[in-house]
Amino acid sequence: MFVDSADFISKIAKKGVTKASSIIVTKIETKNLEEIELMLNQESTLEIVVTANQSFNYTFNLKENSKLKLIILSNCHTEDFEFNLTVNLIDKKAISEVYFLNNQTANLIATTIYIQHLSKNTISQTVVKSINSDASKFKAKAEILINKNCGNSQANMSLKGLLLDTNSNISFQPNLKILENEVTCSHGATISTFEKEYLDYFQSRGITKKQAKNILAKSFESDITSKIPLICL
Amino acid sequence: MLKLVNINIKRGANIILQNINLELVGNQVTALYSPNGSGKTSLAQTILGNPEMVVESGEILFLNQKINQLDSTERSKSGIFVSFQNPPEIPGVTTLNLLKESYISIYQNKPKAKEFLTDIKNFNNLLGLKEDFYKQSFNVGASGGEKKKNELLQILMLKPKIIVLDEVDSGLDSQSKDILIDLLRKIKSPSNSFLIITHDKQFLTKIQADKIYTIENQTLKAM
Repeated sequence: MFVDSADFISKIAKKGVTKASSIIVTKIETKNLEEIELMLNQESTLEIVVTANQSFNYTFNLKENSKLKLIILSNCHTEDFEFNLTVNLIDKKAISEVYFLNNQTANLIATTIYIQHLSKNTISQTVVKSINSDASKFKAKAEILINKNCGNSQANMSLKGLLLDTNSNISFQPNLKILENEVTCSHGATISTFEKEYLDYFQSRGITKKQAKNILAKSFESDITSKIPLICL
Repeated sequence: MLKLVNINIKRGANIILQNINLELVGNQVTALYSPNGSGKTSLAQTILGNPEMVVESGEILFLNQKINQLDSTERSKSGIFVSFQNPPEIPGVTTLNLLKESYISIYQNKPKAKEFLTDIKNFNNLLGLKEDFYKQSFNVGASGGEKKKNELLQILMLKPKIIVLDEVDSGLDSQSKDILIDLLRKIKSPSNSFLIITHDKQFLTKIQADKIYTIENQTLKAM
């Protein structure tokens, strides 16, 4: 069920707690909602597309069998921003999917993401991607905690950066805190620039370097942008 | 269509090829048969406009225009196609997408979507590629033979005027080589010219080239 963002926002106080109890799909802008603390009830599903055009501080608490799919799109051009996100999987079988895509110029974006597995059989998938150019900076600290007695949980984290020029800067700080044995956990962090081999090949097929970079940047973003629900486009 | 006139080619500090004279004429297949390391790929890359190949002297003429100063993008747009010996794998970009962008750049026009898709499907199948090959990430996970066939797929879709096939036969099984030879005969026309580079004598015999060259002492010699 698609819920208009104004309705969604009107249901939650700036720093309040509320409950989602059915399948909800919505999109919001952080300039309209800087802070959320939201509880997902048992069996509920929430999909949110967030346009991050202001600093924000969001916390989601997931109860049994609930599912959160959060897509954060950051395209800030004028200011430095700080983004803080915490997802707590507090009951068994809770699932969190977080996708963060940053594409910016001339700013510093500092992002902190905490995913905390606080129960058994919980699953999290976290993907952070940033494309930086024009001397912009992106910092991301992403931490996964799998607490004691949270066996059979799975957590995957991937941080990928694409630098379009030598003046930009990307810094990743991934962290795994695993306090339980019977879990599956993975993380990876890579920062790259365009492969010369690809650019040469594109050029040999009549595609200019600039066009090639656009195509490659779009393909870099595509595994996140393809997840945006059609209704939110 | 394409003429190399008294070309001397350097790579870094080394002279690779000297006094190269070559003419590629419409409706003809020219073969370059020479052992590994003799400079065949360097010649192909020079035609492409690879900046690592420096043309120290001489002229490259395409349709009577001097193209020494044109880069590979411009040469490709004007109708020169050089296949890669080791085409890259490009994750996230499909063959279809790359072909579409290439077509738009070369023809300065979007292709008719339905026709374009039909053509690519037909050529994909004709070349014996997996049914959804053109929809997958460019060459990702592809075998050597499939990568070579992907080069041929591009030729069929983009219809270039000068077609340089650099060892495209290596990595192909014999059935695929026969398909390639059959394709050559079908595509060959007064509006294009082929330069086929190989070190396989059997393949050379099969292609029935109009002219055959080899490289000896850094220069081309007719055989």
